[in-house]
Amino acid sequence: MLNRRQFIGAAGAAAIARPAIAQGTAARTLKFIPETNLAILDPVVTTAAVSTTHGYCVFDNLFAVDDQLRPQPQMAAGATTADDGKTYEIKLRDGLKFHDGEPVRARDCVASLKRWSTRDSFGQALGTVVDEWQAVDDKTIRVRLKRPFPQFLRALGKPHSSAAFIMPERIANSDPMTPVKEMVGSGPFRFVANEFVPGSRIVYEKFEGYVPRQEPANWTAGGKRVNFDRLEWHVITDAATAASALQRGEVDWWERPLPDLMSTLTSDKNVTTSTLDPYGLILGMRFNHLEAPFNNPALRRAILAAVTQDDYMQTVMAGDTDSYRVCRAMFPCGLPGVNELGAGIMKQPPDLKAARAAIEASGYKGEKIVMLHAADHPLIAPLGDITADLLKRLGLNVDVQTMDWGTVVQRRTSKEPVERGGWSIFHTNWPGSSVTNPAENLYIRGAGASGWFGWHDSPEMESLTAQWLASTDEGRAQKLLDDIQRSALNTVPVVPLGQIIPKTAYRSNLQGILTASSPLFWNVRRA
Amino acid sequence: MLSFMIRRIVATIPVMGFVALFVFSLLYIAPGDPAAVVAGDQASPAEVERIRQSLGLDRPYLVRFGEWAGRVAQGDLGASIFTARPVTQLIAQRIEPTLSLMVLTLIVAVFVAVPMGVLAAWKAGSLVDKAAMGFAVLGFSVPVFVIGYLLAYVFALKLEWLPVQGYAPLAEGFWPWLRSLLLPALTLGFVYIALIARITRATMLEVLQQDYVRTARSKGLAHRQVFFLHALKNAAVPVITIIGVGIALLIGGAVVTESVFAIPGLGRLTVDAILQRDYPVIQGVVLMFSFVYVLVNLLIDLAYTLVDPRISY
Repeated sequence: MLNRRQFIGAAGAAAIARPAIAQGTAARTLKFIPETNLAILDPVVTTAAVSTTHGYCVFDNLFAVDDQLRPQPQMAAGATTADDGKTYEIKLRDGLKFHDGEPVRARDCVASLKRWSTRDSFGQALGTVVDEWQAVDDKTIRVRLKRPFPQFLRALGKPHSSAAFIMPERIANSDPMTPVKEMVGSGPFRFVANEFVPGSRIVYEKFEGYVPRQEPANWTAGGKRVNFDRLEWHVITDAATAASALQRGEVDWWERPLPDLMSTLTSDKNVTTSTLDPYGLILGMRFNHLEAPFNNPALRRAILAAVTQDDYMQTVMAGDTDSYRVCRAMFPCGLPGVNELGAGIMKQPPDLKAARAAIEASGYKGEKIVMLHAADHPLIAPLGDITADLLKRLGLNVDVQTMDWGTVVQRRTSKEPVERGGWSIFHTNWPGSSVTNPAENLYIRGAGASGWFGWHDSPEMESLTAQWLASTDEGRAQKLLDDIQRSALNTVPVVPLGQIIPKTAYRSNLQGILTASSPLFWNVRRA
Repeated sequence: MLSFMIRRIVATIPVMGFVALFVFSLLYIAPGDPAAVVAGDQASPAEVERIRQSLGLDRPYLVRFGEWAGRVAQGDLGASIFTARPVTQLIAQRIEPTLSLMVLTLIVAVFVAVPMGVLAAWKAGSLVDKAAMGFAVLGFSVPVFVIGYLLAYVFALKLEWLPVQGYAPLAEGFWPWLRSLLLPALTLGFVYIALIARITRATMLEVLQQDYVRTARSKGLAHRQVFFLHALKNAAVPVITIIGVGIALLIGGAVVTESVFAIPGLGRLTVDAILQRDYPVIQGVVLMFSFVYVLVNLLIDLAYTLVDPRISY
C-alpha cells in the first residue's frame, strides 16, 4: 500500500509526465498555415496552388521534376521510348500502394492520365497526339502517339497547376470537370476525412505503406521520407494572427507571410525565413484583345514600354528588394533557356514622353478603359493601383472598378463591350513554375476566342508553339522559344510586371524544408 | 400563452419563405461565379463553362430555385459546391464554436454591463458614471478587430497566458475550452457591454423619475432596496429587448471575431462561402441565422412575461 509521501511522489511524477506525453505528440505533429483556404480537394480539376500542395500530400506522380525542372521517375521505375518517339512504355516501381490498401496498377495510371489530359493545358497538348493509353499489364503503361511528342515526360512531371496526380481507377474515371469526392491516393500522407473541417483544418497522417525512392529528395523528385506522424493545416485567414501564432509556436510553418509582416518575423530569433520557390510569381497585366482600345497592338506596345516593374514589385513586396527581380521576359527569368528578350523594349526607367507619343501615334481616341481591380487580394490589389496611376499619367481614360477577386474571375469571362459589363484590363499572378514553357503558358498563347481570358489571337504564336512541342533538337527548340518570346513582345498579350519571390517562414527548429514550387512536407524534421 | 407560441411559430413559415426567396434571388443577381473559382485562375473560358454546366449552374433561375426550395422544404439544404459535403453537416460542424462564443459573450456582457449601467445610474454625474460611460463610448467606437489584436498582443503574445488563435471543443475539457474562448468573448463582448450598459443606465434613470419610486423613497425604503427591488425590475424590459436585438450584433461581430482568432465557427463559414460563391452554403447559413433570430425574438417576448406581470399573451 502506498503511504502519503509515496502517493504524492507518484502523483507529482504523473503530473510531470503528462506534459511530456503531450510534448511527444506535439513533436510528432507538423502544423502548417497554407497560403489560402483549401477550397477544392481535387488537385486536377483546379489550377489553384493550394490544391496542388494538398495534391502532393495525398497523391503521387509517375514523374516529378528536379531543381532544374528536368523530369525524373517518381512512381515510375523508368520509361523507354520506341518507334521513333511515337511509343512510350513506363514501368511502375515495386511497392506502390493506395491508402485503401489496394496496389497501384497500370490501369489506375491510365485512367488518371486520361482525366488529367482533358483538364490541364499541357495535358491537352499531349492528349491531342495520343493515339492510345494502354495498360499492358499491372505494371506497364504504354502510350502510343500519332506523332512524336518530345515533351512527353516533362508533361507528366509538370510540378504545378493541375499536375498529373495518380488516383485509383474508380475515382479517376469520373467527370474531369467535377471535383472528385474521395481522397484516396498513394502519396506519403493519408487524408483524414473525419477530421477535415473545410475552411479551418485539414489533417493528414503519415502513410506507413509508402515506399520512398532511394535518391535524396530534390524538388518534387527523389525520396519522400516523412519525419512526422501527423500533418495539420490550420487555415488562418488573418495575417496578423498567423504571424502571432508562428511567433508563439502554436504553428510550425506559415507558407506565405504578408510582406508587410516580414520585418516582425525576421526580428524573431525563433522564426526563420527563406525562399521556397526561386521562380516565384510572375505578375501580369492582361488586356482584352477583343475590344477597343486594346484590340490595337500599337497601343499595347506603348503600354509595355511605359511600365516600371520596380514600382509594382516594391509595392507588392512592401519594399523588400531582396524578394523580387526585374524580369523583362515572357517566361520566368532564371529558368534554363529563358533569355530576357524584352530588355531593349522595357527600359527601366521607361521613357514616358516616348510612350505618350507612341499612344498618340497608335490612334487612341480616348476610349474608356475599364480596369477590374481586385481590392481584396494582397498581392494583386497593388498592381491595379500602380497601373491606374500610370494610365492616368499617360493621358488614358481609365475607369477603375473595384471589386473582390471572386467578382473579377466572373467579370473577366464577359466578351461584351465595356458599356455592357465588359472590361479592358485585369491583373493576376501565376507561379513561375506553372508557365515554364509555351504549352502551359496561357498568358501568351494565341488561341483567340477559345483561349484564355483576353482572347489573344495569334496564329503565329500557335504555330510556333506547335513547332516547339514537336521539336526534338535542343538548338532548334531554344530558337523557337526565343521566337515565341519575340512574337509575344510584339503582339503583347500581357505586360510582364516582374517576378516576385515571396519568402516562407517557419520555426527555427525545423530543418530540411525543400526548395520547390509548392511547400512539401517530406524531408522536414524537427531539430 | 400556448396559442401565442403556436401563432408565432406558424408565422415564421412565411418569414422563412420570404428570406429563402430573397437570399436565392440576391445571390442569383450578384456578381461572381463558383465555376470560375473551382476552375482556378489558369483555366480557359471553355473549361469554366464546362464546369458550370457540370455543376448545373447554367440552368434557368426558376428551375434552380424550385429544386432548391423543394429540398429545403424537406429539410435538405443541399451540398457545398466545393467540398460536396451536406450544408447541414457543415453547419453542425461549426455550430459549437459559434454557440459557445455567443453564450460566453452574452454571459460576460450581461454580468459586466448590467451592474455597470446600474452603478452609472446610481452614481449619475459622478466620476464612476463618467468612467463607465467613457468605457461605453470606447466600446462603440473601437472596431472589433482592433480590440481583438490588442487583447491578443497583450494576453497571448506578451504575457503568454492565453492562446493566440484556435478553438478547443468542450469535449477536450472545460478549461481548454474556456482558455480558447476568453479573448474572443472579451473582444466580441466589448461593444455588447457598451450597448447594454448605456441602455441600462438610461432606463434606470428614467425609471428613477417615476412616481412609484418617489413613493417608495418617501416610505423610507433604503436606497439599495429602491434600486434593486423596484427600479431594476421595471427597467428590465428594455434591457431584455436590447439583449435580444444585440443577438444580431453578435452574429455580425462573430464573423470578424472568428476571423481574427481563427475560430472555426459559422461566421468563418459564411465569409469563406461568400468569397468562393458557394451558394448552397450561403443560403443555408442565412436561412439558419434568420430562423435563430426569429426564435430569439419569440423567447424575448416570452421573457417579458417573467419580469412584467402586466404583459400577457
